[in-house]
Amino acid sequence: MADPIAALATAPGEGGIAIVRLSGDGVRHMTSLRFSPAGQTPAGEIPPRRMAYGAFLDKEGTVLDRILWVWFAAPRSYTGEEVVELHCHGGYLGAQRLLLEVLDLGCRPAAPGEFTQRAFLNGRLDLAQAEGVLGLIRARNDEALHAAQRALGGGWGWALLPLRGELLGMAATVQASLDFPDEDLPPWEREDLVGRLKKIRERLQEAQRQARSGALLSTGWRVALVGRPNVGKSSLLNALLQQSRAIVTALPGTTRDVVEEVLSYRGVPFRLLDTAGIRPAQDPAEREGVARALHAAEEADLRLWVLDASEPLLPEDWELGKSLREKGRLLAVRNKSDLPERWDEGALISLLGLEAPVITISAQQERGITALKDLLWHMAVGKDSLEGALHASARQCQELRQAELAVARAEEALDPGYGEDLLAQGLQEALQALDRLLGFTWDDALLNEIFSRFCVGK
Amino acid sequence: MEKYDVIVVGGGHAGCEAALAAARMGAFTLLINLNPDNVALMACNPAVGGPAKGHLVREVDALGGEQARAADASTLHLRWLNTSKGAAVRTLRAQCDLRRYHVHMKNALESCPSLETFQGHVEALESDGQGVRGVRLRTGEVIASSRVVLTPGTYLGGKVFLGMISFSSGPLGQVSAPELGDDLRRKGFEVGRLKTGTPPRIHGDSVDWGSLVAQESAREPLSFSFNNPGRVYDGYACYLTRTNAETHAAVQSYMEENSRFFGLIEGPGPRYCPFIEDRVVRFPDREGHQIFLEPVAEGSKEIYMQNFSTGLPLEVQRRMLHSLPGCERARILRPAYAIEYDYLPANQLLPWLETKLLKGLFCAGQINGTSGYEEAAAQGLLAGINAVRTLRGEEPVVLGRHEGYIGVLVDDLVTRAPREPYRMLTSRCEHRLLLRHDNADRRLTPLGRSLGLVGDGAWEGFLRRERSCEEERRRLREWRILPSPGVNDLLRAAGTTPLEGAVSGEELLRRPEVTFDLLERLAPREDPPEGGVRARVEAEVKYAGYIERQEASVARLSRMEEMRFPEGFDFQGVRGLLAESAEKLSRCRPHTLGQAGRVAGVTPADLQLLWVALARPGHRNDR
Repeated sequence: MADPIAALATAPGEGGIAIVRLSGDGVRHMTSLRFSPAGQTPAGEIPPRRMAYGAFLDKEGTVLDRILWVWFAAPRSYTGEEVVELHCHGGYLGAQRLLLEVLDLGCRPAAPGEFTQRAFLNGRLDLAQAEGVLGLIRARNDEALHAAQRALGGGWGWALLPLRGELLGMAATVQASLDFPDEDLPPWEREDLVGRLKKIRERLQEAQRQARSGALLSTGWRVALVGRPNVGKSSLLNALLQQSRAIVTALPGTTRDVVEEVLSYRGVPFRLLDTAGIRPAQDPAEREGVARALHAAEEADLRLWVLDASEPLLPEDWELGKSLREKGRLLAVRNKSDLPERWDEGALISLLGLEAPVITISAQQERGITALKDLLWHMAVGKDSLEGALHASARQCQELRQAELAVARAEEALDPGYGEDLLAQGLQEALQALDRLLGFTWDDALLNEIFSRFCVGK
Repeated sequence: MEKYDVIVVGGGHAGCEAALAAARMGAFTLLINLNPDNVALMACNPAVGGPAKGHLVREVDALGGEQARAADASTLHLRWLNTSKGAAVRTLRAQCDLRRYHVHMKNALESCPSLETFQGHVEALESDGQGVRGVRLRTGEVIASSRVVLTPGTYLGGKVFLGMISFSSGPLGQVSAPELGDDLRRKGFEVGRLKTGTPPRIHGDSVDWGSLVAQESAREPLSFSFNNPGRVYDGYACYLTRTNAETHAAVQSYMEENSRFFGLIEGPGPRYCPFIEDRVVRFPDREGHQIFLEPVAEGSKEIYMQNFSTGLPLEVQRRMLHSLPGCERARILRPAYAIEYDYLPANQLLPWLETKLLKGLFCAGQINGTSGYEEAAAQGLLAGINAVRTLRGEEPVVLGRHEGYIGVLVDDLVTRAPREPYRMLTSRCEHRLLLRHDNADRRLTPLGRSLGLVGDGAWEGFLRRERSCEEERRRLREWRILPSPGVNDLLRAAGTTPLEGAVSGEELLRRPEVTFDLLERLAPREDPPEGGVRARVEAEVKYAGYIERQEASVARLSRMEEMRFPEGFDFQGVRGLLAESAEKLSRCRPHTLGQAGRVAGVTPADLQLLWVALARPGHRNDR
């Protein structure tokens, strides 16, 4: 028995159409009672997979929205269970109301990823596909969607099967000489293996770059805005988003919790974390805010250190800058360039001995914001090109890394003094990592290769 | 007839270990053999060891088995294989005197208290539908026992082929036992057919030895058993010849005239090529194949031809033989033949080698689809142990894949049920840096001792070696080696960088170019440790990083191995499992989640589902 679940299937706040998806026993009947089709066919008799236009009613019988209603019969649905989709025109708010209505009908809200999990549990997806779909759900823009679709369509297979084949051939050659020392097997050339392994390792690194791009596209880059109170962090957030989300006042210590917003720029989602101003706080709530701010700075991929160019630099700035730099990547932002400046970029660099890039802006007047966004984009994308990005889950990235490390160990084992047992081990471990990544099951691939290539006896 | 605790049917390499293990554990044991003169008969190559097989021999020895001792008692020629290829694959191979091997094993059986041997021909099993109750002999006599170990080898339904001629026979002209296989079929077992083969034996005086290259025995004192002192073996060498275009032409012309040949034998042969005709057909581009000429026994002129097995008719055998350099005038004493026999696909077994169908019935050796004396001995030992353990209501012994080649062997058998003769290979073993020839005792002797299989002498020897290894490790850690012209000259000569400051002996040994022997030359000692200790310490120091990584991966996998399926677990009822996977799993009936993951065709997605099913409350079951 599958208890009915429901959730918004489209990302909140984006696009004119939103979809509410339901899955589980009875979802068709449950929703058909509230659906009044515009056509001749009564709601209860509409065949599966046919979109029907009509009104969705609340329990009083008032029209909530004009929608498209469609159902999928088990097991030929995304989850393998009975599935209903409600495509509503009302955008985010309309969809929210519709969702609340179906929850009233007896559905429970789906946990994150629960649809995919059910699809997986019902055998509709394999592990790699499930991970691809999880990426798909998270995909927030076109580029990420593209990369995720490629992983589903066997993108990994295309990229990695030739590598696996080559590793298999090498492993068979080396292994045959270990298991059949008395057979006159064709010798293998150390130099030849050195060159081939190096190429494979480079290709695995390339695959990891593609995977990183995919990860960047789907999970985004976390950017923490950190600084003393009242340097304009929230104004900067608003300027970046060009809207007024965070509360902006001249009162220091206004932002007490971490505010998160998503900025999608040139295909990369940036998760901007606006934090409380860092200062020795009196108020326990503010102290908590400072602690959270420092934690967010710790966890972020990049720290935007916001400074007020119209105020003199204080010893606290030096302290904060130093501690932020220790946490990782840092970008210093000189804000309030519209006011008379008390110090310049050079001062920051010479005074603090800072190696981080510095950029000057005015959040108030929205000056330098595009340059800042470009700089963020370049720091996030780095040398990795978004072209050829493959969606990769953390597990898949991990397997690629394992394969690369195993190949590196095999290369090391080719140095004089190491045994061929270590070479064989490295090759086999690399193969195993690729097999896990590609979802191949345990089989006799290596032995088949040995026995088909080499004439070996008892 | 008295009632026995354990009956072992068949006195080959598996049966001898099974009977000895059961009796040494104190069970009143009977070994029934068709012919007592054939106990532990080396029906094919009179050799023990080689890559992976040698590892098995050492493990059998570490657990208290007999094979290594029998090999040491009968060795004619002994050498290391894979010497320069790393500690994980280095192993011994002994050419044995097949008569002395047999005599040693027969004597071991006959002098073992609580073990009886008896000549008899078992026709059927007695069963009460639930479990085995004993065996019935051809004479009609019934011998009762609730534990029976079947180790019938190629005698079970044996059928010999020489070209188109075939007849019912055991190996080397022995009688075959056709009835028991039919009885197993009647009892509901799936019984399949496999084939193997052996080369001709030729007269040593008819070989022109002068034209052949000799392979001498090792010059350092060596032994297979942990409990025997090393010896240098003199007087016997192996010789190398090879096939050529004329040999291959003899095969091909026969094949062209007799296209039916390959269809005659129903049982599949292995993917590796035991038969020279398979080699010629499958690798037509090869110009020649190595053939080793090897002694079989002291005081015998017979010569074994390693790699020259064939099922072709005698006249073709002669043509092939005479085409070989040095064998132009060789005389065949015993013809080569192929032999087909019954086996039980091993998915019918639990991981402790008991059949799923009939409680108390154990199988070991060729009946489980393996080939090789070493594979047989390892299974026989385990089957004997577990016959006694289950009889006493104790937890059966199941070795993990990380604990020994025996664990890998049995897991491969019961999980994957090979449908061709299964040979142990180092490549089958994912943790091979942990499972070395040198540390088999550390891995298994404590278990053997706790089972009652390791005697006081062997146990003391083990403890002594352990202490010696510990001391040696400590000495290496504490030993400061200072740079000096003498030290640096030796290091340079070995191809490694000279010292600039003091290092410990361990640090130096970690360098790939530095061997234990080189360290000894840096600081010669009066009382250096024995060879086994040196080999192990060297491997442990050099492989430390790799060993650590493999141990970590074993620990990660162990969770899967600990998740057991309850008895009667319904694989078909697991939600979302693909029908094909459910069917494969139902057939194999894996014991643990780890084992399920090794069933061919089971996907990681299937495993996730099984994991979910097992993790669901109400499905927990700790056997």
